Parts: sequence; structure tokens; C-alpha cells
Amino acid sequence: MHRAMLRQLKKYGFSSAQLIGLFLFIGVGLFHYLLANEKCLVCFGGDKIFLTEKAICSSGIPALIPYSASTLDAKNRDVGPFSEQQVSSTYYRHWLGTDSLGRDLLAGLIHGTSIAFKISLLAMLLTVMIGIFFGYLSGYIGDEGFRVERGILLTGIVISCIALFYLVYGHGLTRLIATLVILVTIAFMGIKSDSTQHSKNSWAIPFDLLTMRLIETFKALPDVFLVLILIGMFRKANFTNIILIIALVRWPTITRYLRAEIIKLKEEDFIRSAQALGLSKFRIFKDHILPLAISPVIVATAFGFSSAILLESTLSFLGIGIPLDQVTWGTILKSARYNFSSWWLAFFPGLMIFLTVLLFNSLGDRLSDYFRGE
Amino acid sequence: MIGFLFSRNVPQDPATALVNIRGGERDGGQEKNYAAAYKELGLDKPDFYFSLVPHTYPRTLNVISSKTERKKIKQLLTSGLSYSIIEQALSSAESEYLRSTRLQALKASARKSSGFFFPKFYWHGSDNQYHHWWSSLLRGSFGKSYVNGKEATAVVGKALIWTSYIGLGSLLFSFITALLIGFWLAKHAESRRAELLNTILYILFSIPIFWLATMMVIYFTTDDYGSWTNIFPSVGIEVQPGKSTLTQVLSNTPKFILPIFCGSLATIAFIARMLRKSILNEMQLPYIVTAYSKGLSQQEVLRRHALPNALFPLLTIFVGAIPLIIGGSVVVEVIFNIPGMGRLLYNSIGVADWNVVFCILMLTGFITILSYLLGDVLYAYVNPKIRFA
Repeated sequence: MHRAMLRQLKKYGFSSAQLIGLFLFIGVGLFHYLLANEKCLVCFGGDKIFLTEKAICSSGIPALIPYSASTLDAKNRDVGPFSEQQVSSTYYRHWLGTDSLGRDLLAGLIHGTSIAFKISLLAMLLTVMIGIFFGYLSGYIGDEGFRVERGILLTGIVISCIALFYLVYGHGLTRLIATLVILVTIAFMGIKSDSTQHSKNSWAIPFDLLTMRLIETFKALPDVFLVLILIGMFRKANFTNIILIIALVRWPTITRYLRAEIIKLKEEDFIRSAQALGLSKFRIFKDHILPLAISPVIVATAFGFSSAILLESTLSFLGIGIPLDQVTWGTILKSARYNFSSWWLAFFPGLMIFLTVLLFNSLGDRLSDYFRGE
Repeated sequence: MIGFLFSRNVPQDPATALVNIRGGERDGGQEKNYAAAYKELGLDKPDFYFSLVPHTYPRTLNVISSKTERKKIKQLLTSGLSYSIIEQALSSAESEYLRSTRLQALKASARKSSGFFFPKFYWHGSDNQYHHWWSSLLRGSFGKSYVNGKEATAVVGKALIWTSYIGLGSLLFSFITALLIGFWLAKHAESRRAELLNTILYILFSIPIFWLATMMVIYFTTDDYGSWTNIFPSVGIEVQPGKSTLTQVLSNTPKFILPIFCGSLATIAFIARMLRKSILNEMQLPYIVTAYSKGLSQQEVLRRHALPNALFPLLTIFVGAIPLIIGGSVVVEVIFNIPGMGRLLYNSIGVADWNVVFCILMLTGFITILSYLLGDVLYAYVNPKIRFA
């Protein structure tokens, strides 16, 4: 299994350095608990076996770094990596120094990696899902794909509007019924829709046009501005909001690439023959179009990871990202702005961001070369 | 339209802000002040040209200034109570706050009735908030800043000067440098030194601006690492009141060196690499062979024939760099403490000064669209094959 995966990755032409970097990022992201923890990982003797306080546990397996990201070491505040430290043994040394509260920088970086990993992964999953959905609407359904008879369309819109009215002003059961009515109406129009009939008394809903206008609205502002404004509107930035915001900002890129690819594929003969065989629209999209159109999406996703990590750390750096009690790369870098003499607080977290961004950019370049057939 | 929805739904009450700016009597008059501010801002008018509400609603609920009260009455109106009770509650609500005991009683009786209602249509004419919002927008007014009560456009205008100075500076600097580097890279494409520089540029492209800027500030503007590294003046712009903005900008020029450098490094790396690739592509085309066979030197072929054609695809990048630089201004301005648009946006969002935020939003969108238009026009100008229909 692992070997097959490795072979597949090698096939894309990734270098060993890239693979090691990727595995390190994922590994540290998943297992940060085991790497840096002030508690004992496994304890022999005593009631609690896993993650026991050091004081209770006499013998056991400690973590690689005996500090959590939030552990305060009052004896070693603001010490550099090369300066004298008041520690009982080399094992307890702060290898990359500490900040003004005495928190270990290396443990902070490991915690930051896990945050960056989680946020970028979840944000990109959401981005790709939204991107593919809108790509399907604008590229595959297009301006002409959703054609409904005029009477049905008008009746459907009127019914939906009335239901929407009760949804807004009603309470309890009224709302439930209104929601159901809207869903049923849309489903009914979906069933009745037919892209083949071009008669005069049918109207099409221009999904392509609508999606492209939506994308243009998003693209009229620089990403950073958009993110700042969205944060202001959400009032409070937390883990979920940041992921949502990144996905909202990034999806147009995926949709645009996917749309261009789908439009090219849609006119191919094998798609027409699939249509002639009577396969459903969704099934043609899922089985015949998406596997061929996915390559630009993969490339855009690789670049998306780096921009998601950059956005997240920029937000933490500006002090409006992940809540302040969480230690991330951005928050450490931010603390360096008020503490000029501690160079290690600025250098190492920035280096982590830089290396991760470089890693994903180079992965993206490699993938795009591969798909172009080099 | 989206702008209006946005400005109505932001999490800050404009009337509260207006009361806060004015100060006024702190105790007692609070509610009265609020009501006056509410009326002054025209928030008592209907939202749109028409409204579609349950038949139990009055013409507009916006005449009630208290937000919580409005919400409670909305609930009452759709609860199926008899109309006379609600009217009674409504008339008293306009003058004073609904007493909670009476509300409790009303709610208890509400539970018994069915709560059925049907839609009713009201036409409000042009005296509505949407209409007034648009007309003030067309007159160039975005409302007042919630922080100091100045016009939002004036606040943003002042900030725009700093941002455009830095933006134009980094645009010029990055393009000239990138052109030189890219040209050099293409000329010595086979040499090891050029290959090394190419790789370095690739790596530079991934450097986060805020890291670079922070490191620069720490090393080059302070004495902490030996006085010989303290090359540049410390961050922060000195704003001298009384002098014209232009002299202020010019007198602060040494402080712009670092921000401009940080803001343009990634752009330089990107464009130089693109130019190199573009020139190398051109060099493989037949007209280059013709040029060589005429007896021109390599330098001349590159400069006279390959470069102009290689600059074509860079036009779109040139135009795309304008919104990028505006976006990058947030971090650079915050770190280097420059009172530009990016920092203004950051601060305004921090204190929920939505009128200023909205003004910046519209301005940036306008600049972006304008720059895309400029790109299209330039493209048609240099490429005679493209004609606008």
C-alpha cells in the first residue's frame, strides 16, 4: 500500500526533498501531541496510563520535547537558542529559545504546524467542494443546460417566493413547511428541466452567466481586503470562521480552471455517445468528465495550500486570526515585532512559513509540468 | 445593491456611533439622543421602494428606533394576536419602552391563537433608505467616519496619497529591476550563474512579505545587533500638521525605501522569471534566425527583436500587479507604520468604522476594474490584430 502510494508520487516527478517535506508537514501536523508535550505520553504504574502529569508519573515514556506550546517556564524567559539556560539537563534545554513568557519556541512551532496543517487541509477540502459545485453549474450545466417550460418556471418561482415569505416571517411549523415547499419546487423543476428542447415557450436559467458574475464580484477586490472585511462581518475569528473565509476567497480560482476544462471536454464525441446511451447528467459528469478535468484542479489545490497557509499566518500576524491563546506561526512572529532583541522569535516561525509555502509552490509547479506531459 | 445590503447588515449601529461622536449628556438624555440621531440619519424611513410584509404589519416598522423593541413587535405581529392589542402596544412603544410584564402577558395569549397571516404589499415611493443611499453615493458621499466624525471620503483620500506613492514606487521599481534581471537571465541562459540566480528568484517568490518586513525592521532599523546594521531610519511616518501633503510625502522619502523594497521583491522574482521564459520562447522562432542572418549581434537581436515581442504576455501581469500591490499594502503599511489605505482598512475594521471600510472597498474595486480596462486597451494598442467590436 505504502509502496504503491510512493511509486504513484514518484511518477509525478516529485523529488525526495519534496516528499520528505510533505511527509514531515503531515506527520508533525497529525502527531504534534507526541512530539511536544509537557505530560508523560505513556506512564507505567499509576491509575492513568496515557498523558499523565509528570509529577504523578515516576517512570514512563516522555515526549520528544518536554514542553507543550503553552507551558510557561518562569526561569527561562526570553532566552536565545545559544545563550545560557537554567535547565536541569540537556533534555530540558530550549533548543530554539523561549519568548517573553518563557514558552518554548520549538514546541510553539510544532503546534503552529498542526494548526497550519488542519486549517489548510480543511479549507482546501471545502474550497474544492465549492469550486467543483460551481464548476459543474457554470461549465457543465452552462447557460442552456437548465431549460424549463415557461409555465412551470413561472409557477415555480411564484410558489418559491410565497414560501420564502412564510419562511422569513413565520415561526416553527410554518417555516418547516415553507422550506419543504421550496425544496420540492426546485426538485420538480430539476426533473422537468430538459436541455434538448429549444422550443419558444421554454426559458433557460443562465447558470454560467450568474456564476461568472459572482466570480467577478469576488475578484474585484484583493484577497487580503476581502478576508479583512469578511472577518469584520463575522465579528469573531475562530477556527471555523477562518476556514470558511479562506474557502470563500479561494473557490473562484478552482471554478475558473474547472470551467475552462469542462467546456473543452463537453463537445468531445465520447461525451455525446454517453448522452446517447441515456446516462444521467450527473453520472456523465462524475464518471466521464470529472476524472479528465480534475488535473488543473489538483494543481490549483497545491498552490491553494500555500496561499491558505499564508493567509492564515498573515491573519494571526495582524492579530485578527486564530484566538490569541493559540500559539501559531503568525502569533509568534507578531510577538517579535514588540521584542526587537529576540531575533529567534522572528526568524524561525517565518522560516517555517517560508519553507511550507515553498514546498507547496514547488509541488504545484511539478504537478503542472507533469500534467502538461513533461 | 450588494453594497447597500452590506452596509445595512454590518455589526455596528450607525445611530449609536453618531451619539458617541457627539458625546452630549451622558445620563438621562441617552435614549432621546439616540432617537434624534436615528431620525437624522434617515433610518426611520422604509428600506426599499416597496415592501411585502404580513398583513398585520404597519407601513413600516423602521419608525420605532429601538432595535430590541422592533424585534419584539415583529414577533408579536405574526403571533396571531387581535389587532387592537397590537395597535395598543405599538402606539405606546413609539413613545416609551415596552414594559416586560405586559410583553409577557401578550406572549401568553399569543400561544393560544393560530398565527395565520397573508402577504401584503406596500408602495413607498422614492422616499426610502435605498434611494437616499444611492443618491448620496452618486453625490460622492459615503457618510461620516464613526471615529472622528470626518467625511469618510476625506479620510480615505488622505490615506490614498501615501498608498499610491508607495504603490507607484514599488510598481516602477519592481518593473525596471525585473526587466533588467529577466533580460540578463535570458542573455546568459546557459551559464551556471544565471541558472543559480533563476533558482534564487524562484525561492524568493515564496518569501512571505510580513516575515521579510519584520526581519528588515528588526535588523536594519535598530541598534540591537550592532550599530552598523542600523542603516535605515526607524519606522513610522512623521506627519507635520500645516504642511501640504506633497511636501510631507517627499520629506519622508528615506522611510519609503524599505517598504517599497519589501513590497516589490515577490513581484520582481515573478516577472523576471516570466520575462526570461518569454524571451527564450521567442528566441526559437524563425524571425530570430532571419535577424541573425542579417548579421546582427546577439545583443541587438535580443534587444530589438526578441524583447518587444516577449513583453506582450507581460502586459496582463503588469495590470494584474496593481491590485496585488494594493492588497500587499495592508501588511507593509501595518509593519512600517505608514498611514496609508491598507492600515486604515485594518484599523477601521478593528473599530468597526464601516463607512470608511465601505469607501475603501468601493475605491479598490474601482481601481481594480479600471486597471483591467487599462490592460485591455493597452493590449489592443500594441497588438493590431485585436480590434474591439
